[in-house]
Amino acid sequence: MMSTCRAIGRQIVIRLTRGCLVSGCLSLGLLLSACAPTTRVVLLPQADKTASAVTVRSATTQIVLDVPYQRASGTGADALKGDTVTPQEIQKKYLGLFTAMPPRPAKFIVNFLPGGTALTPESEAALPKILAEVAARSGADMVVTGHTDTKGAAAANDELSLKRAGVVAQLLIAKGASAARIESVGRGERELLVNTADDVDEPKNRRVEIVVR
Amino acid sequence: MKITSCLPYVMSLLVLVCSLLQGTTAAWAQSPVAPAAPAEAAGQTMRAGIAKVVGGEVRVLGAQGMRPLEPGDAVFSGDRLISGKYGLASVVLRDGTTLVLGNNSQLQIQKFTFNATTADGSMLVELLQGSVRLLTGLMSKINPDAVQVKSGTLLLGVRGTDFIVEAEAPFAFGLPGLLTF
Repeated sequence: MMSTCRAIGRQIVIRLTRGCLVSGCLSLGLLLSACAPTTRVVLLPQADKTASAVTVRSATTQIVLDVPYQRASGTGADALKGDTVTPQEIQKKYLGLFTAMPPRPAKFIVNFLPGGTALTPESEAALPKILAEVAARSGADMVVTGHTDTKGAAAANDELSLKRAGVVAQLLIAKGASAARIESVGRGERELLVNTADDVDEPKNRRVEIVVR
Repeated sequence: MKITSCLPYVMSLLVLVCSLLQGTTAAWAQSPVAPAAPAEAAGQTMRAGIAKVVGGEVRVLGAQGMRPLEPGDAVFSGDRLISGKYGLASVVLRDGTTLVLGNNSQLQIQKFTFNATTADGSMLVELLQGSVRLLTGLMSKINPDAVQVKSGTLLLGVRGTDFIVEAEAPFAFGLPGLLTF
């Protein structure tokens, strides 16, 4: 892109002002070096220390960052450059990106009494704790996700899990949660808490998870 | 013609060439804001995420125009987040992807789709200026290629991770009112 930039710029300068060709090219070079923005990418460590990676691609080169604090830099016009920075350097340079990071999501699980939509006494008692967590966060929202066991057809379980999530969402709204900031989701039997074969009755899998974030 | 007298013309021409070229690269990358369909504008659009921590001046340029961003506000696919000199904002998208926007930054949510039942989806965010930190969420776990970040002509593929992207302002002298406020 840089060379195209320069070539087009030069043509215009030559056509318009022969007299200041030299100075034009000089200022052209200065200005065009600022034409393509420089991008820097820094990999941060995962909170749970698991492996992670970012692949940075330009038109001609590619750098894979897979060790925390590795950095790739480039404009896209030249080959990407790789180096390593220190955690202190990054914390200082991008302080706001650390201070404005929201706290990690909090997760709660509620269970139902058999054969209905009534919560167990323990789960009922947990609701105020969930609302307290919401109140403590800036711009909090909730994802209420229903899950089933593997009993029955997958499609029916999608429907059932969404219904259970809706029940819990309504309970939270009745206790003062904002309906606009709750999303009810039915994950069916996709995310079992206890792994079982198909068509197995497992009370621990019949649950609703509430993520406050 | 004297050198001093023609310099301003050359300078303004170059700015023009630069902005034209930037416009071209943006077009290559299919950057334009996707206008919301009328049915969606009627209130049926599912939000892409919700603003969490907001400090200083942060605005959103969306299909309905410019609005200030406050904690708890919804943001949508197509929105551009713009922070001022002391502005900072974090947004958690529906799949749990967390974006933190630094000072003097512009980030466009080019695309965000997410099916909460299957956790399938895809997203493309473009950093136009400044800095952003991105912590991936659910969709990236299901499909590692689902999350893409663009900055200038660079494209980032992301595999379950936390990272910072910075795009140094293309013009040292800036374009007042457009790039900063």
